[in-house]
Amino acid sequence: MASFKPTIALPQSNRVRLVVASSVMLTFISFWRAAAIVLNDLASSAFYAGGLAEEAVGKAAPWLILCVVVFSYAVRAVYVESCSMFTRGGVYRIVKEALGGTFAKLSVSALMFDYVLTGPISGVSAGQYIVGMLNDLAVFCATRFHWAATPHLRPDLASAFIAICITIYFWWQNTKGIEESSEKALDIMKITTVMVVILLIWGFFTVIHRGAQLPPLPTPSNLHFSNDALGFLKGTKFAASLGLFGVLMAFGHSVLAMSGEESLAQVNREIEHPKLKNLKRAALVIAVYSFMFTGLCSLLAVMIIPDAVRVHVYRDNLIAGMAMNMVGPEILRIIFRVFVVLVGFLILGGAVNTAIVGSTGVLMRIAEDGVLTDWFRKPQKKYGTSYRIVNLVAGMQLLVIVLTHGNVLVIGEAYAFGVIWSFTFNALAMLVLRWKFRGERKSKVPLNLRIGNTEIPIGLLSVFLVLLTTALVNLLTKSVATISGVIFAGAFFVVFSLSERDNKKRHDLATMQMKEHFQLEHQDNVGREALEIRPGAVVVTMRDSAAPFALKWALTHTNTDDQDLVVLAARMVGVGGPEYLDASEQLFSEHEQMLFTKAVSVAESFGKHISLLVVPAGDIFAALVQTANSLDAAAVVSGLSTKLTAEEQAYHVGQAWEALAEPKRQFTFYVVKPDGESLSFHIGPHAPTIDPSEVQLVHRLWLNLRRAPGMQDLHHSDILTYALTHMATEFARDKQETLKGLQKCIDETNNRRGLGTLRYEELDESGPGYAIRAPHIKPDDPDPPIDPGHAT
Amino acid sequence: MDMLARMLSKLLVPLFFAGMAGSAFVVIFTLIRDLRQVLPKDDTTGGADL
Repeated sequence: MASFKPTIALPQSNRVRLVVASSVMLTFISFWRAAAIVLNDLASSAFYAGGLAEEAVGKAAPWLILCVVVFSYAVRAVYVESCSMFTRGGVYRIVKEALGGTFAKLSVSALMFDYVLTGPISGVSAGQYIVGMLNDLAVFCATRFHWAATPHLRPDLASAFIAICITIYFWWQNTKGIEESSEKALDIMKITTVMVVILLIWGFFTVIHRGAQLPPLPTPSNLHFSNDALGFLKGTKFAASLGLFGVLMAFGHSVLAMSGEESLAQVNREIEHPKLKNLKRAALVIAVYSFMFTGLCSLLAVMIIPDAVRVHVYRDNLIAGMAMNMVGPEILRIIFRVFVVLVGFLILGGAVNTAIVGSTGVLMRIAEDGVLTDWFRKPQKKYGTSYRIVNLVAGMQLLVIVLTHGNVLVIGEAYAFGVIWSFTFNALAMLVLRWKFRGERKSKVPLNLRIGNTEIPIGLLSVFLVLLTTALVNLLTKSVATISGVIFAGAFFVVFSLSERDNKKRHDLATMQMKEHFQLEHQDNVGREALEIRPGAVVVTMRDSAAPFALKWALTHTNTDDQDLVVLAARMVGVGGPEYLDASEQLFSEHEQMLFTKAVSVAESFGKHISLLVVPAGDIFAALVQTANSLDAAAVVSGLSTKLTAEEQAYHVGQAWEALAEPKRQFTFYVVKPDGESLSFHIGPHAPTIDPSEVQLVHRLWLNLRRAPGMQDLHHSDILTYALTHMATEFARDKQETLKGLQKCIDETNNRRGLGTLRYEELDESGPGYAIRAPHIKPDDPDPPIDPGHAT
Repeated sequence: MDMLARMLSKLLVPLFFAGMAGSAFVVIFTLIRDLRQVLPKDDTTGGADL
């Protein structure tokens, strides 16, 4: 056992020290990935916005969509300013800061309406593309092969069915805890980019080849509103002579093309340094992409698809209509349409997931603030996810699909309500913050007129005016959206308000109990000083108070006189979470209280001392590794995951360690199974475990080679160096051949494997004789050696 | 409803178009500023790598 003289006195209090960190443990992504995540949400609207806008306002719709796409850059500037003030600059935080809790709850209610409808509209739209293609293919085959009858699917019902399937799939993925991956988003955007490039090149060629005309400009005389698009104005005298008010109405019917700004605010906290610059780069990429895709493709669609079929046949699958009406051989057009449908399915399916993840994140965020009761935050027993929130969101999305029977028009109308009102609240809040917080910002919406000491934010005011007037006009012209939106947002607001009131009483009591039982310390960052622990500690993760087997194992194998033991509870903040949780905002749920109480009682039963640490985390593995590094830990102990194997857990920890910035120290990662068995993995570069037969081989080679002239000074290590250099050269020359040879070697080794020859060992309860040990450290040694643990 | 719509029209239309004019300038100035700011290579980041 390691000898160590403690240099830091342990706290004398009877209560266990519980350190609550404020800085969230995050992993960071490039601006390309950030842009891809946002575009997965934003670009999906290109698949349905054009058709819905033309149905509402007539053939001039593409100009309005282009106008909305350009205007969205101004809205994005507002979001960038908000993100420069608060890294998590989404609606909830901004409105709460500027206008208080009531307005914040109202704005979140509108945002939830937006998110809840993003899923159904994307799912149904994906269904429309699939069903449209299947029906057309059936007609094509029936004509070509002289079928007696042509099979036909009802687009609305079949699309609704597909949307339900997609929603259920992502509900289950989110219940299990889908791994959020910017890699997947980037892959989807790459394949979408290929489609957009083909669409634009082929589209412009078609337009030039046919000499197609531009759509009419959106002047009052060119706007032809459908009955539904008039909303409450239907039948009034005013509707007969709308004038410029018609342009405003038409703009309101095109705001569907502008969504995804909230996703930008949410993803901002994950953008790497320099954050603001990269945020602006992401915003620029998004602007160019949405202009090219949503804007130009909507324009080309009107120019390419004949009037007779554009709205009537292709309203809900406009891009498929473009593919089918390009110049060129029919078979090529059909192949391209299949590609469009595939891309549409990927991006729209991804948008369904974004909607579930986004709304879950927003609800988690407000639950952390005590606006939702603890009931919603209870983790799923097996997967540890906030399944009740996921159930609620997915349930509402399914209800919308069923109630609307998959009618894209109805869902689209309602969706615009949530989009425009959440933007309006955000712009209003930013406007108020210009007066409330007069300090300098890293980024400001331009056009600021300074008169003396007063600054008039003309630019910000302009954006707010456009959003407010559009939102108000939409109240009149989108009757379905107004009624459903007001009911939905009102219901959510009431639930939030009642829940918050109930929660406040509970949390006051809970905080009092927590203070009685634990010595609460709030720290910005995790460090050894905060926990008053020595280098080389053991970090144990704990998630379920009912199954503290990892903690029991760690307590069995650790002498806490020599080595400190820290129990780590990660507070998952999800997509909608902040980058910083103020101490006063961190409320302890009943689940967390039970967790800490159990940890202390288990430690007491062993007669050993532990420290408790709560860390807000975006990614559990990143949080684990960052905490271990900050605490200078020698070992991390974790229970076996219900989703991953021990090897997969170790792989993720290893990946997170690789992503960690220097300086970083190695540690041993132990995965403990419920029956007490455990596996150990050395994290970071380490000497491999060498089989006795391999040592024999090196030794035999050494004996033989040493007989050769001039080889008297040969060492065993020289043989290994030569073999590895030889392999590296071979790998550089012929990668495939080396991999083949390596695979053969692995197979042979596996076949030879028997008892006692495993490259890693499973430990039983008593252990094989090695324990988690603190390194031998001299108190004055600035760079203590690292205990290799049981290397694998 | 007719009356309300006319009143709203008189109030909202000027505000909307004034806002649109201002927003057009916001877009232009923001675009120029952002391009100037983000196009030069920064020496501290690896942000451009995929």
